[in-house]
This record gives sequence, structure tokens and C-alpha cells, in this order.
Amino acid sequence: MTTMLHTHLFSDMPESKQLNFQDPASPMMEQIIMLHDYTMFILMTILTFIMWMLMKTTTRMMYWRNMNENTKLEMMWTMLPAIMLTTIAYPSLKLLYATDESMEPELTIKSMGNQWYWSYEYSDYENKKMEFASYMMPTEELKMGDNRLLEVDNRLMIPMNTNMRMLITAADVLHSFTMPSLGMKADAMPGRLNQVNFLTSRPGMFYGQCSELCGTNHSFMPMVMESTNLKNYSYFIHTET
Amino acid sequence: MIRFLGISRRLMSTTPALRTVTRQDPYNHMEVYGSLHHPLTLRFEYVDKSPDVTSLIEKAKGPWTELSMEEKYRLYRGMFPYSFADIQADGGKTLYVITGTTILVIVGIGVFFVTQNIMSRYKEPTRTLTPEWEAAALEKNRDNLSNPVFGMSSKKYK
Repeated sequence: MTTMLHTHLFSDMPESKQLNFQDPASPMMEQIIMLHDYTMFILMTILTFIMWMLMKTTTRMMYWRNMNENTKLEMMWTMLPAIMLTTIAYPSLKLLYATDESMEPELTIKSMGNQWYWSYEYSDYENKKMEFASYMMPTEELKMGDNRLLEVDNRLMIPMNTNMRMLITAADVLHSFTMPSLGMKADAMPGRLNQVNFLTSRPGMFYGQCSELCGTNHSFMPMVMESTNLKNYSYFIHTET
Repeated sequence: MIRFLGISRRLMSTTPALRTVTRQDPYNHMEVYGSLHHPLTLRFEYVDKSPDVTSLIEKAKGPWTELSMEEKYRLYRGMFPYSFADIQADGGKTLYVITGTTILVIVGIGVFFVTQNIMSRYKEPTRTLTPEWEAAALEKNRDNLSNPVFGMSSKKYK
């Protein structure tokens, strides 16, 4: 794919002129991309056929004056789409149920959406509850090389290769916690806890942005997740709590 | 007798099943053949009701040898006003439409670029959109192992 298209397409953060998904950082996102590629093949086939039919009807001006009914044709154009939809639906439903499967998470993080920032809470550690707010870094305070509208002052640190659970809620209005490279998107609703299970399979920095209109600064409340090894994560917990 | 039933001679020879006249529309000179129980099978036939064609139809009920060649042409055109060639013929406007649309699109794009050029003189550019900043961002993201699969941190990235 990179040889066919521009090399700036794939990213753990959104890039300009990006056409495709961000690089997957979790097994679920890898499966989502595979489903997307599989479905895209079927869609391209259907699209090619429809475009061909469209061009033929506009250029040939054919019309059948004696066409009354054709049961075989009607059966074909009912059965074939039904079969195609079944071939798309089967892997799609499998993946849908797989994303809802909980795998006994080892760590739980609570994420609360506010206007207009995110607040996180690590409450798994006895007597060492940690919570902090994560505001977007204003453009004027960015250092050279920082990503505009994506950097935050306090990042979320998580250990890699660890089954995680995130409980997402909101304090005021609807928000949405999104992490495209992890295939994660869950609405943050006041008075409700949404659970998302995920696992990061590689270290790195993952960026996301609020995906539910929540007011004036809806575009300016990103979330940054830093996935690191267990040693660094333990040091982070030890020093911060 | 056949005309009294409202069936054209042509229909009699090709489609013996459609013999019922449902209605005659006096304004559009259309005759509708077929049954309303099967609306998809209805056939619409155009019949010219102008006086000269009507009189020629009456004359054609007699011996056809008495019809001159011009009368036969007129009678044929009255029964079949549109041929396939007439229907499929280009209206003569396709080139104008394509040319006009292309010109409008080009003008629209030109207006966009002109307004962008004018507006950019009054708007201060964002400091993060300089080549130096973009190079520094690329270096930073490489250090953070962004895009290790296909993107900037991968081995084949250029």
C-alpha cells in the first residue's frame, strides 16, 4: 500500500492528507482493519458492476418494450445481494462480539470528560489513589516539534501488553473518548459508566480527540496515551502516587 | 372492424394478447392498450389526430393502391412520429453543456485561489506550519515510535 500511495498516510496521530487508518496498536484494531480490507474488496466489486451498468444504460439507450416480468432475474437480484450481505455480516458480527468480550483486566482506569478537558483516575492501588486532569497545550506554549491541538500537559501512562479496562463517564455534557490506533471509541455520558477493554501491543504515543460535540472547545480536548514497559510504568506510579 | 375495436393492425400481428383498449386520451393523442390489472404491461401508442392524418386513415380503409406515395409517407409519420433514430439523436446541446460546466468549475477554482491569496495576506500563519517545525515534529514522532508498521518509524520509510 505504501508503494502505491503517499508515504505520509499512516500514523499514530492524524496527519494531513491522511486517507487510511492509523497504524494498529492493539489486536482489536488489527482485526478491524482486516475486516475493512475484506469488505472493501466486496464493495469495489459491486461498485465496478454498478458503474458499468450505469455507463451502459446512459450510452446505449436500450429499452425493452416487451419486458413484462422475469422471475429468474428477480430471484437472482434478491439472492445474490443476500449472499453478499451474509458474507460481510458473518465476520463483522464475530468481531463485534469479540470487542465486547472482557478478558479479566489487570488494570482499571477511569476517564471523565469535562468541559473542556479529560480527567483520569488510577484507583487500583490501595491508599494510593491518583487522579489528574489533562488539558490541551495551547499553541503558544508548544515546544519545537510538538503536535498542534494534540499535545496535553499530563499524559495517560499505561503498561503495554496488559489487559486494561477503561471506565468512561462525563461530568457535564456528552463527550467521546477516542483512540483510533487502538480501535477505541466510547461515548462519555453523565450518569453512566461505559466500559472499554483494550490492550496495547507496542510502546508508543497514541493520540485521540474528543468525538462528541460538547461545546465551544470540543476540538481542543485531546487525549494522549503513552504505552510503555512495565518497569517505566511502575516507576511512574511510584513517583506520582 | 379492427379500427372500431381500437386495435392497430401492427399490434394485431405482433401481440395478439393485448387487445383491450383501456382509454383514449384526447389531448395527447395517445391510445393505451392492455389491462389495468397488469399495469406494467400497458402499451402506449401515439396516433396523430390532425385532420389530414384522420382523413388519410379513413382513405386507407379503402384500397391502398389509391394512396399516393406522399400520402403513404404522411400516414406513416402520423402513426409513428418518432423513430429510434429520432429518439436517440443528440439534442445538439451536449458540447455546450460540457464546455459551460468545465468553464464554471475552472472559474470557481480560480475564485477560490484568489480569495485564499487575498485572505492569507491578512491572516498570520500558524507557527507550527513551517518546514523547521514539521522536521522537528517528524524527528520527535520517530523518537516516540509513531507509525512503526507502515509509517515514519518503519524501516522502509523515505
